[in-house]
Amino acid sequence: MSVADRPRHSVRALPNEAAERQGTRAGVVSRVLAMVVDAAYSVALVGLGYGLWAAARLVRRPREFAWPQVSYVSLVTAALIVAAIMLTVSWTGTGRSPGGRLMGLRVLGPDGSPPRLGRSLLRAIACVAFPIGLFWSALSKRNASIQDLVFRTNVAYDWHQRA
Amino acid sequence: MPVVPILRLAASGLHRLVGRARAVHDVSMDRIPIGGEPKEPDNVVPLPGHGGSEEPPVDEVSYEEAVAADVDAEPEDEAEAPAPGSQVAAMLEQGVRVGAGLFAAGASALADALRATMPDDEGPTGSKDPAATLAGAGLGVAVTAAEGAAGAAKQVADTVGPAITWLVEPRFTKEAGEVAAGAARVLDGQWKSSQAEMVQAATSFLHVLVPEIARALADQVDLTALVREQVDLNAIVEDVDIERVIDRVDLDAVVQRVDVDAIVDRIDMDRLAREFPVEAIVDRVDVNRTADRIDVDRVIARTDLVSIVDRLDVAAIAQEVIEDVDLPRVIRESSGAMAGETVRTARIQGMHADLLVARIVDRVLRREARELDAPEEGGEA
Repeated sequence: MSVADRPRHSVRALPNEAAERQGTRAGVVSRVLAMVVDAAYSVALVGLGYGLWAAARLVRRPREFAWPQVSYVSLVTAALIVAAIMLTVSWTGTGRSPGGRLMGLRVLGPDGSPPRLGRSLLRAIACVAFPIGLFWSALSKRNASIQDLVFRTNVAYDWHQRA
Repeated sequence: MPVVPILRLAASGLHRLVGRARAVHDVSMDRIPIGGEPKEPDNVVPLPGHGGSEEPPVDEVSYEEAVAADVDAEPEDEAEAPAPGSQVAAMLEQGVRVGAGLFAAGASALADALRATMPDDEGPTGSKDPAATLAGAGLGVAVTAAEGAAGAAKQVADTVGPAITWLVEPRFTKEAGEVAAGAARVLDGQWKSSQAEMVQAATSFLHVLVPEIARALADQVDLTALVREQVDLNAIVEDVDIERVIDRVDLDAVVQRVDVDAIVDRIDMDRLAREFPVEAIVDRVDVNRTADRIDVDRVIARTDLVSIVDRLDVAAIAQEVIEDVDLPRVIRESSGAMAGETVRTARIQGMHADLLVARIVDRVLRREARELDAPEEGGEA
């Protein structure tokens, strides 16, 4: 028996219980936690933007400095937009949003690879506009959210780094 | 017509018998030698009342003396008896001798058999055996008849007259009782005088006849079948001392004469391997039981592990191991695992929570299981 004929034995660095579930569809708890993280990440980005904006105003007119007055709706809108952009970019590249990276999740398209830009954008908008659709994954037989059903995507456990 | 010569012959025979009876009045037939020399019989069987070591009575005439007396008493008969040139007569006499010899042998065997069945204490010691005497008398009659036949042609010339005068002789009537008693003894002596010659003739005849009879019997009888039917071969084999037979066999010499190479060359190994019931043998072998009996520790202790390792191509094995291991994947997983213990714990706890929720929901919805296999990369389009 040559080397090529023999079955390859994989050597894993993961715990057995995690290794067994790699590549399977993730459940609602992990995905909600990822969504919370993503939301916090978006809020943080918005706050960072607000800080940068205030700093710019301070540098330009130090005497007349005052905190920018921004309405709550504007902040939320900004946060949603930021979240949509962030999710679109992260899903298109690696399939991982910041929350997904933390929780070891990856968004996959119908072909098993990360979704392309259009699908990622639409899915990101749908997620931001209707986040409660995520909870359908608790009821779905395939752990699919409303957005997954609409855009034919999947969210799987994937602790592996990808180039 | 032939009555007259026959009567003449009988009268002549009786006349000679009376004369011999006087000469050997007390001859007794106390011993019947068979197939041997009459001078020194080596197979004498004593009759009842006559032990082998017992001396014969003094007043009795011995066998040799009776023969001598018989010969001396009738010297003129020997000159007259043979018929010159009569081969027929010689053959007849020889035939009678053979028959008498055979009868003697048979009579002796019969007498032995009868004697074996008789009580030991029968009859007083020293008395004559009437059966033996009568048997000898019968033989004497046969011999006399033979001699008479041989000289028949010559004796016919001396016819009726002398015979009639001899018959009316007063001496005959007066001594008839004595003659009758002595006649048997005379006939017995006559038999004994010719016994050696007769037995010799019978022996020669049997030497020729017995092999022919045996050969003829062998041709007619299936001896193998006969032995199978009549002989208990198992009993015979049981009596055979096999150990002694084996001891007498030079097995080394036998083995040296066996050409083992020739035998091996004649073995069809392909057929043997094809027809050998290996499966049946293996089925009957309890491998587990055999394995249980193996002392593995002892086997390992006796094994030279160092030499085994020396014979292994460790470098090649290591190369194969490295090729089997997906090192890039190991590195990727390691970097993922380096996310930290807290993150790993959070992920695993999230997995457990996912399973728990799914199980509860499935139980509420009475579903069996979920389809959780995500499409592989490059799979579903």
